[in-house]
Amino acid sequence: MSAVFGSEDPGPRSPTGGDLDPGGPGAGGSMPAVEVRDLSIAFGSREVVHLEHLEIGEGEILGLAGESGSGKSMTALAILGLAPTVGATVRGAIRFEGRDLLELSPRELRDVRGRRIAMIFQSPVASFNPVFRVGDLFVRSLLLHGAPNRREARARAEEALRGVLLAPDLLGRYPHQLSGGQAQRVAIALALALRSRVLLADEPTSALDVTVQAEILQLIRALRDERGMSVLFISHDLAVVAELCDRIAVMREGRIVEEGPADDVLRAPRHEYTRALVAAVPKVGRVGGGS
Amino acid sequence: MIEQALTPTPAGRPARLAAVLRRNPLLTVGAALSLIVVLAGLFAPILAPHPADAYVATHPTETLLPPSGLHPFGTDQLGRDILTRVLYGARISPLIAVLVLLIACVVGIPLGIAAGYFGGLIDDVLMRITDVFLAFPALLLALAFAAVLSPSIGNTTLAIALTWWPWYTRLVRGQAASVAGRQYVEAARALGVPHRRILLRHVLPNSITPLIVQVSLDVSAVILTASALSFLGLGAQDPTPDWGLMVSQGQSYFTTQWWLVTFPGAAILLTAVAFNLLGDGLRDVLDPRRVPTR
Amino acid sequence: MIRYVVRRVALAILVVAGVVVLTFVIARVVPGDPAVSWAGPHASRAEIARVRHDLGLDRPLPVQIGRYFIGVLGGDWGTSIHTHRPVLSDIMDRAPASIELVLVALLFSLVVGIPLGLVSAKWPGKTADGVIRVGAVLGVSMPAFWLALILQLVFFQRLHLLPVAGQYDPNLDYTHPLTQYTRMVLVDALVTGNWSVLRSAAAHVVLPALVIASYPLGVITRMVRASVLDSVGEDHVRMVRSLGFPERSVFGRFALKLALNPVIAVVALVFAYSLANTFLVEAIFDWPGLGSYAADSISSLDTPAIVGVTLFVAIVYVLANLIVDLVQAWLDPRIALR
Repeated sequence: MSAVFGSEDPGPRSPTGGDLDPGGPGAGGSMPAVEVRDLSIAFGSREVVHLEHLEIGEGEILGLAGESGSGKSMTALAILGLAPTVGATVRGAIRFEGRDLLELSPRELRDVRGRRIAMIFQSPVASFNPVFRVGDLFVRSLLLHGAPNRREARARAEEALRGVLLAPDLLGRYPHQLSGGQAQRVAIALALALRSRVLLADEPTSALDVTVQAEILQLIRALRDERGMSVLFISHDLAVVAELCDRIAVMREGRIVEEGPADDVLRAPRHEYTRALVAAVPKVGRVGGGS
Repeated sequence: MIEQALTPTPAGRPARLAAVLRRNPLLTVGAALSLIVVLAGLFAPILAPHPADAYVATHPTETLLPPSGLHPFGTDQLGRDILTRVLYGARISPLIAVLVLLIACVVGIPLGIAAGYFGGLIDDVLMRITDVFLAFPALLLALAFAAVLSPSIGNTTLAIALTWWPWYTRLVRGQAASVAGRQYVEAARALGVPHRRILLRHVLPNSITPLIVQVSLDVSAVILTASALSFLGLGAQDPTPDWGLMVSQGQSYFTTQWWLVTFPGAAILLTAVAFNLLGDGLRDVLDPRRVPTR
Repeated sequence: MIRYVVRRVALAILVVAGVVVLTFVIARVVPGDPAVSWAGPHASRAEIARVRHDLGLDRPLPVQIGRYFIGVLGGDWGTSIHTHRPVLSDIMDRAPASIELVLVALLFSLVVGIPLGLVSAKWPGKTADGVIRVGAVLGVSMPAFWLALILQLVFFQRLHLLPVAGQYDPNLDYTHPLTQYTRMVLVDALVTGNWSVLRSAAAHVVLPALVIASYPLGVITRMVRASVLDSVGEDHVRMVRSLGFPERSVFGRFALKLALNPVIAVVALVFAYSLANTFLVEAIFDWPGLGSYAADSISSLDTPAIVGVTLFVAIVYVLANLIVDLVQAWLDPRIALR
């Protein structure tokens, strides 16, 4: 598994800086990476999400499952403080690194975005502005988040691309010149280059075909195993969630109806909605565990 | 999306119309202003204080009078009541626009359908021809045509129509080509349904919505072009109460008698604004892919 | 990309050829018997016959087209009836002033229109947006000739603020003579360091440029607004926000650069439209450009001059379109693939 990050020339700042026990799922107990409490997201008077409690453990992959429209994506947007940009109002508390993200000033929030918490999206190619070269976005982002100069930013970008097993010369390409899988890897590399601690992955594999999907899942798992990154993995596809996640929360109509270790939830779903979801999956089980 | 816009549920139509107007204040304003212009033209003989001044009458003793109760917009160099002539002008500009767009559609639509549906050589030839026409700014080409024809309203209309049809050929061609490629049309063709029927049943209806939007947006462009030609002396001739001509004739007096130029020009502006708002609003409602409503 | 450039240039050449043919049709076919109109209303039969022979109108149509073509390519655009000079040299003398005017107007429209469009798209539905949208509709609905007269009335007659005639104060020809290189007064004054003329020329260009800018300003503002609004719901905007870019960059850099493409696409169109609009405006401002030349030609029924100006503007338009397409393909490489 460490092949993913270690295969190529590791470069000066070797990415294998995983400080938590590799492979240790959901260490629990200690401080969670992100903790959501009494989160309410509403459009006008219509509440679309109401979460009493949700936490992403340090170095944990938490699966957030549920059908589309159940509020999963909105929850991720709210964590980044982006829900207001689509017209939603957010109340409650989102603890991250000892602070409440909802209390932060816009400036402080921008410092968290990208640098501490990164997000990747469902349609990888469409999540890149088509008229900017990939490298341009990397360099601008890295300069925004403290890279001293363009050359240094460029070097970090190339290193991050190698970290996701892509050739650094992809930086010269435009988004439409990337395949879906490549684009999603590039998006992940962006989080890597910015050294984000938390990755919010919003249906990152839904638009990809099955083999590419497996590669991306493997990559996300490696991020956690080797970097200790915490991941919120959003998907409507329980099979994918089952394959990847340590814990699963099932959302329906804005609320969490069931939550627990992945194996428990899948083997013995307590809520009838979860049972329906599980039954809809042809074969649930951990496939190709990586290492 | 187009199909949906074309077939609104008949029962909900008035309610939906009201809702649409509420959500689009600019459309409402545009529709109201357009209606005012059209009504002003229709009822000019009733509304105008001095109907005779529209064409034949002149009053040598009452020339260049400033606005007053008797002549709210003043009188012109021949003593004619400007308000009367402005009201009668509302019969001319919109009429020119309607005729131009009608001719342009009658010529442009069949050619566009032919090019888009049949493709091949017809398509190539027609598209190169439209390329050439579209290489001129509309005003310029219309001006060149109008300049070599004798100046009259009919020839202005003809000149503008000659420059306008390629836009519709282009637009319809694109729609027709995309419809012709759809599976149900290909299936119909394979089943031996006659071309005429496919064209009437499938190709034409699919082109209608973008066409309506474009035509309504073009009304003000045609009005502006026509008034520009009149202003240059290439359109209506005295004593026709044409707004562009009135501005042109008022030019020599405008430094001292401002009302000669101001009111007819304001009428052009108002009419152009009205139909622009109407066209924009219709586009938002009928063709929502183009521009978000708010 | 190279294939795209070649194809695009070839198409432009084809269109120019078509444009020449169309102007031939306008000049020689539409007017009925051009010999009659050329010879003038009082010409005798013999004179008309001579004119017909001189113009080659007694030859078959394809021969006429061929000759016309060769003439146009060789710079023989006919002789103006009212100036008695070759039309092409008249046009070359007059074009720089018009192009200067239109460029100033377009520059103004871009510099003002893009920020207005951005502001409008950033706060849709707010008061500023409403004002800007109404202003943009007024801009595209404005009869240019009328606006020119009204501005003259207000700024010169009533306020005595700005000059309204000519390109600069003619008295400066004696005190500060201007060396002409490009025949664009602003440019020549700038490169020769003739500040007095520059100042005067800048004051003179304001009103005519404002009038010409009315339409492009409206168009550009609306386009920027529409395309920025189109893109705000897209994932890539969400992406740059999620990377921590401030709203200023999200709109002013990322969304804007994407929005610039459609704007650039219409620049050639509004350039040509504005050039045609000078026909309505220049005479009013006594601006010694193509527009006042065209207006003079129209009033003296000078067909060769009118057709020449038409041909010239069409060729400029085709070239402008070509340049725009190439610039666009360079800015957004997806275009070359279509």
